Amino acid sequence: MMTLIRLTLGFGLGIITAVPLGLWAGQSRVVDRIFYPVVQMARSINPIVLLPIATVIFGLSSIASVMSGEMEAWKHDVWDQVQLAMILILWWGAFFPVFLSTTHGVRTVRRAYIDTVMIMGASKVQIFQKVIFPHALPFIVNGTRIGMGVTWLVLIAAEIFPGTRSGIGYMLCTACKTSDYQYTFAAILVIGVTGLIMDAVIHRIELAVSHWQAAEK
Amino acid sequence: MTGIAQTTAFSLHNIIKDYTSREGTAVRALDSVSLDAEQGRITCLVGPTGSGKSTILRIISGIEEADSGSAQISGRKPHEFIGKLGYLTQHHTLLPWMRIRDNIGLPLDIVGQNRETQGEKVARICELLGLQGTESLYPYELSGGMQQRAAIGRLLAGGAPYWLMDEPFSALDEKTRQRLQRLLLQLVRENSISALFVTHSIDEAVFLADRVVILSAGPGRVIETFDIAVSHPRDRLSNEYGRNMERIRRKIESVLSE
Repeated sequence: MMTLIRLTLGFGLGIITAVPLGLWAGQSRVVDRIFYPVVQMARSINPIVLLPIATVIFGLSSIASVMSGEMEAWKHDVWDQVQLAMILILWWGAFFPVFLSTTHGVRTVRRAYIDTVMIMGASKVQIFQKVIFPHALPFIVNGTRIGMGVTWLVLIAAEIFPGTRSGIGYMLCTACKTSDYQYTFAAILVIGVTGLIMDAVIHRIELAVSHWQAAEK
Repeated sequence: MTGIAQTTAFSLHNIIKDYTSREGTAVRALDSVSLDAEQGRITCLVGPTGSGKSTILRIISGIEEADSGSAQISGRKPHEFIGKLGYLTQHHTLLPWMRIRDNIGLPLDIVGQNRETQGEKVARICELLGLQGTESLYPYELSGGMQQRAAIGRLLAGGAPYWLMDEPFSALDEKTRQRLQRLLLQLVRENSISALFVTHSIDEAVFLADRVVILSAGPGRVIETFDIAVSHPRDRLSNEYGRNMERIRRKIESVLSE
């Protein structure tokens, strides 16, 4: 399913960039000050708003065109359907929730825990490994869950835009245009159920990594 | 007490520490505090709220610095003792995302000891402290008393010969507290540990301490230091125990009524 490939790429890229940057910004006041205005401004911009301008910039270029040039791109039938513009807005949808929860997770570590391992002689790396990262992990997963919701909404909407020839959003749009309402409702149902399944999976992970939080006040 | 000269474990000399209050004025927390605590003994700091007991521990541990005066452990600067100090507080600082086994083994993990020796040592400590069966639980699944036991286990695993204890038992019920006091005495003796123990319970001080340092509040000052030369375990019902309790209580009361 093209939709899921796009989602994995855009969303994955969002997490891969947001987590390290969030961990960094959470530990450094300076970095945080620099990021804060940019992040707050950027996150208020609905990614769908960016799709037209992203399409102007990237055109209909896809990952395939980056791989083997515009003329040869059609040969990779899957990669040609993963448009760069779409990846950009998916990244946009995923990045901010994950980034913000990660910094929050780092910043709310109890000072006493850090003091404790410092007295044991822990190095900076060990403090990160033993205290900061495990403390931030449930927050990261929670951010991922929120980000996944946002990305899913954005992705379906983006697939309805012109320039797409595949994906659940495209199917839905086409079915609707040809007055095939049975197919339309089926597509809507699939979108809903997929959203539910993905959330349930992340929720499971969230419960597994956050069980200790109930005991924290 | 033996005739052999005791060496000093912790010593403070003319420590002054000021805090800036919210209004910006300086508040004196400690006013030329001097004290000595002997090696292999428990020294208790007793005093009312605001006498800077916890601040004294923080200065000795090197977490905080005094404005003037000197703090030493075994004649050397506190920061040389990173990794050789055990710190126990009222609210345990076991890491909530780690199982008891990993919490106790944490100091060993930090110095890079291999998993196998670590596991053996942790198992031994759990057996010694009556923590068998809790190894794979998380701290929040344990009662307050068991959590403090695990925190003590972590100190033992670290092998630190100097323990700083900030009202570690004050949140526990009477029975659990007495049980842990006896456990502490046993551990201090068997591992020749020097402990500086902050408490506001006179009973706790008389039961545990070889030396009691009485502090006054606002600012914290040492008003009296005396040794309790009664051998352990002490009988809470003996006359001598009562006399020592009385002595401290009078002293504290006279300060409070000043």
